[in-house]
Amino acid sequence: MKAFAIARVNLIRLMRDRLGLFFIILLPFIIVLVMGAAFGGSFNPKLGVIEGSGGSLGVDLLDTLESSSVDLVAFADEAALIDGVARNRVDAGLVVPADYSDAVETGESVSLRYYAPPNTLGGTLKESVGAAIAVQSATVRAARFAASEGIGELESNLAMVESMRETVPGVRVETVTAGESVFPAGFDPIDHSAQGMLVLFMFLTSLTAADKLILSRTLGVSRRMLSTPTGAGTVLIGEGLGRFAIAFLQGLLILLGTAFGFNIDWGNVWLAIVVVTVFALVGTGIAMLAGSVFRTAEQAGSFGVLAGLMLAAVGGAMVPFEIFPTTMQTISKATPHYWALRGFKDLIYREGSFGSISLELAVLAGFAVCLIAVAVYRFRRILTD
Amino acid sequence: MRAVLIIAAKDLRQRIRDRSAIIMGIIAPFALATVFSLLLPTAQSFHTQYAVVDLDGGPVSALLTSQVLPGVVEAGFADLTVVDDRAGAAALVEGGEMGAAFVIPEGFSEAIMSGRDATLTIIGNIDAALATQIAEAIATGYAEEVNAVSLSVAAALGGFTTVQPGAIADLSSRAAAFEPSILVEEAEADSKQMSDKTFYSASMAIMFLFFTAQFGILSLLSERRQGTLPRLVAAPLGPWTIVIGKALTGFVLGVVAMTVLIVASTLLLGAEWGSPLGVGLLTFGGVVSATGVSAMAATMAKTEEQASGWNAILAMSLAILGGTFFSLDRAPEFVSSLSLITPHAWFLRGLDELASVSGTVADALPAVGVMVAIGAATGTVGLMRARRLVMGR
Repeated sequence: MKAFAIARVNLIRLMRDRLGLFFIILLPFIIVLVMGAAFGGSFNPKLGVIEGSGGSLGVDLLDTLESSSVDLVAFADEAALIDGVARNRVDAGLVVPADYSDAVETGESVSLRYYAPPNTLGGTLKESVGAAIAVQSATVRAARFAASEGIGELESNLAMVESMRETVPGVRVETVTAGESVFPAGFDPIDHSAQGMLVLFMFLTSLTAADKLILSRTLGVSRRMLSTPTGAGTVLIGEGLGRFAIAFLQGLLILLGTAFGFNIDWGNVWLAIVVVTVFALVGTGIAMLAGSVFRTAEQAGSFGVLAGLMLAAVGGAMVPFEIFPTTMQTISKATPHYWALRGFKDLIYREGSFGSISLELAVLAGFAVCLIAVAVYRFRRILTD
Repeated sequence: MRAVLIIAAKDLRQRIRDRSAIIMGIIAPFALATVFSLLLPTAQSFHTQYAVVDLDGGPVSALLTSQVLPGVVEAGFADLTVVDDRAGAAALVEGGEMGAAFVIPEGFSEAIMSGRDATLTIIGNIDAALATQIAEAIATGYAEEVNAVSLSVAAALGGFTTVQPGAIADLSSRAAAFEPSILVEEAEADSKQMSDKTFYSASMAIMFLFFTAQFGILSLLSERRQGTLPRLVAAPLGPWTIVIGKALTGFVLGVVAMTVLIVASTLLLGAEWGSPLGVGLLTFGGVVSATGVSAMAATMAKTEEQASGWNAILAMSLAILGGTFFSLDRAPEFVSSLSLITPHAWFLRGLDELASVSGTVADALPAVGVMVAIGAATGTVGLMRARRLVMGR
C-alpha cells in the first residue's frame, strides 16, 4: 500500500523533529499539570479567614462554610487577609471577631467583617456566608431559648439542638438536576483542563503540522511522487492518513497519559477514544486545508498558532464554556472544539453512552467531511496543476 | 556607535519587510487579547438567571419570593423570572436559559405552619455549577430563618413536639425574640489587580515579547548561513559593535511592539495600564529581560531553526509558569513562589501594583529591578556567546 508508505514517511519526519515533539507531546502535559496546580483541584469560591479566631462558635461557623463547597484559606492576621483579598488570592475575606462566641451566646450583637474587592465574585460568596450564619444562629437561638425556658444549660443545649435538626419538621432544601443527569459532586478543573488541552493541541498540531505538507510541495516531493506510477488519489490518501495518524496518536497519548498518569477521569475511555478519532478526522481536514491554502511554511506556522489558539479559546478549551457571555456561547458552537468538549463532558459527568454522544459525533463527522472534501478538491488541483 | 545604529537600522528594515515581526509582535498578541477580552467576562461580572415557581402562594413562601429573592436581585448578580409550573422551570434550566430554579410546592406554607416537613426544591443545571451552588446557599439561609422558630420551640420542649397548637404559638412568639444579631459588615478591600482586559492585553504582550525580541540575535545565525557574517567581520568593526547592533534590533523591536500594543489595547480594548511612567519602566524592564533571555536561547543553538525552537520552548514555558495563560493568583504558595523566577510574573505583578488605588510608581520599582537583573544576567551570557559566534569560534 503506497498510501501507507506516504503516511509512514509523514510520521517518521515528525519523530525526527525533536523540537516539534516538545510542543506536540510535552507541552500539553506541562499545561495540564500547571493548571492543576494553579487551581488547586477546585473551582470552589475561596474565602480567606483567620484560623482559630472567634472561639468555638467561630470555628463551627467556618466548618459549616467549608462543608458548603467554599474553600477556606487561612491567613495569619487581618492585614495579611486584606492583602490576600487585594491580590485576588481569595474571592473575599471574613474576619470573625475574637469575642464572637461570647457575644453570640449572650445574644449581644456582633459584627463580622467581610472584605470583598469591588465588583467580584465576593458578592455572591456572601450568600454562602449568610447561609452558614443562618444555620448557626438558628441553633444558638434555639439553645438559648430552651435555656431561658428552664431546659438545660446553653452548652448542652447546643449539642441537643444539633442532634434534633434532622427530626424537627421544617423547610428542607433539596437540589435536583434538570433532566436525567447526575449533578457532578465537584467540577474538577484538572479534568476540564485535560479535555481542553487535548482538543487544543490536537487541532493546533494539525494546523501547524500543515507546514510539512507545504514543505513537501515546495521541495517538489509531492510532484516527484506523482511522477512515479502513483495516482493523485493515492498521494492524497497517504498525506491524509499521515495527518490523521499524527492527530490521532497525539490525542490518544494525551488521553491515556492523563488518564493513567494523572488519574484524570474521562468517563468511558473507549467512547472517549471514539471522540478522539472523529476529532482527529477534523484535524486531518483542517491540516490538509491549511496545507493547500498557505503558500509558505512560515505562513502556515504563524497563522496556525494564532488560529489554533483562538479557535480553542472560543471553543471553550481554555476556560469553561459556562462563563462565556451568551453571544460568545452561540459563536462557540461553530467550532469543532465545542462539540468535542461537549462529548467529553457528557461521558464524564453524565456517564454518557454512544447514543447520548451521537449528536456530538455527528456534528464532528460533519466538520470532518466538509473540511476534507474542500481540502481534497484544492489539494488535487494544486498537485495536478 | 554609528556602525551599531546602521546594523540595527538595516535589521529593523528587514524585519519590517518580511512581516514576521509584525505578526508575532503585534498582530498575534493583539488578536488573542481581543478574543480573550470578548470571551471571558470572568467572575467579575458573574451574572445568572433564576426562575421561581411558587405553587404555594402562602405567607411562608412569600418570605422567599417577596423578600429573600428580591434582595438577591438587588445585590445585582441574578435576575428573577416567575414561572408557572415546575416542568416549565425545569425545561428552562435544562435548556441553559436559567442558572437554577426555586420550586415551592403546593401546601408549603400550610405544612410549615402546622409543624410538618416541607421541601423547597432547587433545580440545578449541570453546566452552571456556581449558579446552583449560590441558589442552594440562598435557599439554606431562608430555610434556617424559617426553621429557627420551630427549632427553638422543639428545644424548649426537649424535643417533644406534640403539644397543643396554642402553646406552640405562645412559645413561638417568645422564641422569635431570641434572635442573635450577627451582622455582616461589608468592608471594601483595595484591589491590587488590573482589570481583566488589561490582564489579557498585558499577558499576551509580555508572552509574545519573548518571540519578538529573539529576532535580534537570531539574525546572527542567518547572516552566518547566508555568508554575510564573515563580510561584516571583515569590515572595520569590532565584534561587540556587531553583537550590540543585533541586540539593539531586538530591543527596539520589543519596545516598539509593546508601545503599539499598549496604545492599541488602551484605545481599542479599553485596557487601563496605569501611570505612564510606571508602565514605561515596566516595559523597559520587560524588554531588557526578553532581549537577554532570547539572546541566551539563540546562542545555544547551531541553526536558526534550532534557535527559534529553543526560544519558543523557553518563551512558552516561562509564559505558562509566569501566569500569563491563566492567573496563578490562586495557585498554592510554592507555585506562585516558583513563578517569580520568570520576568512575566514580575511584569504582571508590577502592573497589579500600579492598578491599586494607593499604588505609586515606586511600588512597581522592585518588579522593574528584578526584570532588569534577569535581563542583565542572561544577556551577559548571551552576548558573550554571541561575540564568540561572531568571531567564528
